[in-house]
Amino acid sequence: MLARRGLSALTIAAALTLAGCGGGSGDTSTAAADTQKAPVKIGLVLPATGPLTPNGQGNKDGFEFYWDQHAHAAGGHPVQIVNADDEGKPDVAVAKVQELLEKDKVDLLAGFVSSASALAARDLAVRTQTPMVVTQAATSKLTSGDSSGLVSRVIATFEETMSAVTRTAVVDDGVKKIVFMGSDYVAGKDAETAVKATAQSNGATVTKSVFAPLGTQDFAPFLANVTADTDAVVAFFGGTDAVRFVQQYSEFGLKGKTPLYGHWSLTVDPLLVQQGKAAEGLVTVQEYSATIENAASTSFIEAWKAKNGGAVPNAWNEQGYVAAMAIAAGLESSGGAVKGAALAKAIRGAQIDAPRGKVTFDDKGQIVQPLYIARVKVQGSGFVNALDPSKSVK
Amino acid sequence: MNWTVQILNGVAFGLLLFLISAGLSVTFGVMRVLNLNHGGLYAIGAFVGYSVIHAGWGFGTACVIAFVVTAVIGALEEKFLLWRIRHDELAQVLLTIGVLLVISDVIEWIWGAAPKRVAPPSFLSGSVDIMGGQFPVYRLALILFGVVAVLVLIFGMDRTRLGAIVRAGVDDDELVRLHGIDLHWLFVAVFAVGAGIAGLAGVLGGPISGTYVGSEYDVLTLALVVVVIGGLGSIQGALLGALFVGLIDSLSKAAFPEVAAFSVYVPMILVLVARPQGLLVRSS
Repeated sequence: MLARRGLSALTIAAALTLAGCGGGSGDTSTAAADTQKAPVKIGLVLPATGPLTPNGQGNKDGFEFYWDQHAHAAGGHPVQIVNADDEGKPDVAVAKVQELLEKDKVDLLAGFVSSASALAARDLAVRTQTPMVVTQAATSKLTSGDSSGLVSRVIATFEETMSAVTRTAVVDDGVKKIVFMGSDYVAGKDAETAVKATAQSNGATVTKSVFAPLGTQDFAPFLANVTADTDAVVAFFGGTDAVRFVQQYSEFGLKGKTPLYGHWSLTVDPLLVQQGKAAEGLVTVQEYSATIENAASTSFIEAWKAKNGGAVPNAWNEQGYVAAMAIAAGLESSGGAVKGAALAKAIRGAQIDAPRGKVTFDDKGQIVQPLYIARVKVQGSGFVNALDPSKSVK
Repeated sequence: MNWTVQILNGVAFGLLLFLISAGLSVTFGVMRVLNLNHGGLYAIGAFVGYSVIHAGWGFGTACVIAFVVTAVIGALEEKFLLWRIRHDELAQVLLTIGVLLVISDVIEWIWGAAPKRVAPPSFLSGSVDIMGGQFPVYRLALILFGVVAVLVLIFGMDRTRLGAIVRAGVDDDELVRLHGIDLHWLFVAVFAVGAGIAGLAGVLGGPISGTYVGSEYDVLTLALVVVVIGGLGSIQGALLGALFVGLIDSLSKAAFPEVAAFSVYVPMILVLVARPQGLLVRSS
């Protein structure tokens, strides 16, 4: 789509010029607290355009909910949020992050759904010594290869999640021949690496890997690669891609024949509502579900319902919420530091009583937390990701 | 999944591409007016259809309203913008790209940037067994509709008085005027029909190729590929180009998913090298 790339680059250039002249970009929420301590500006970078829009919106709602609950302040510091839309594209992310750092002078970066965007933004964060709290981008490269000490992430890596769900398929369900299907960018490649390694070390093989471009509308041609001798498909897709993939997997008759396993992003609750019966029986690895029972989860759910007309929070909302919790905990324990490596270190030192359970960060800034295996089942008039308590995998 | 299913899928996508590009092929090829906002008309149809469906008025009503709305927009575009510069193709390109950019932003402003989901009408949901594979009913219905549209358009262009006037008007507009025919309104009418069909394709394509901001550019690119391959100016050429692109796209993604991103451009380049005038060209 050369023409489109050219055109959208043109649009972005024009939009940036306009934004630069106009002075204010994005909607900013002002801090309520009138404290004397230094204010903190957070640049929240999430996709609000393109296939990953639902993921971004979910994170944003959860992140903002936390700050609304806590009067937009932590450790006495007023907190201000500047939103930016990276469209899930690394080139746009670079432009937006640069603008946040140079024009809006944010102290901290948060968000990121696309792994490609997060990797691109990390370079800028390292160069400017800006702490970065990642909500959803799950490539292992983001934390494993990082020695900057600036990045913290509140979700599991693809290495952890995709290994867990592949192990369930191979060890528990006896799957031998796997076809991997995923989004054609760093996230999909990362997921594939984990699936291949886990399959191999447990005596199974990935016979074919199929990558579809992010934003694929019709998965039907790609599904032709699932041959009759395939035991299972292990998949990673996100956002609106995930809805279409699961529906077309069923429409083209594969659902009853070849079991489908996947990352949690494939059947996260708001997508499951749209997928409906097409997703029944799908096995995924999950990090948070509103069915988890603990005090933190219960109070989170009650407060969320009260504010959102009885709606139940989903995994995306919880990720945004936990990212905000980590930032707040960092600001409370940083000894007055509101930026730079000192704040990043304080965030990594946080011990959080999150809705998903008690979590900490390892020395690479990667969250340490439980994972669960779930299966999509009928419940009442709809479908749910029912956690299997006997299969806590970590 | 078997190959019959993939071929059917390619035909369904090809016929959708035909509906998208038929208007472009006729207005550009016969009337020599290049409207790069054709993708914008598709997207307007798609989003208007989405709103109508979500208002509870049903899929069929959505198709009719999308057709009418985009036909009116297309007519206004031809009447007030393009007619003035009908002999200057470069000006047409610049003007219509401008209109496309504006329409893209207006769509985002009205409907938001999140992709929308348009489900097939309930009586066309589900799948049927075909040669041992399963195929969605909606796509079969789309093939049927596409075939009817092809026949109607070919008949309209080759066998009716209106079609004859359009063809004559391009070859010798003086002569047509001497017969007391107002060429301006004729062009507006043809333009409106082409635009309306593109808008209708926006609704029909929703369940397959998506309703999202940015589809205007994707669709424009595909429509241009179709027109380049099929040759300008004939319904038959647009049909041939569309089926060719639809089948290549489906089958190459199935056989070699690695090349999915550019598989439709390879045949376009080959056709441009071997037959720059396109596979089927209206003889002049």
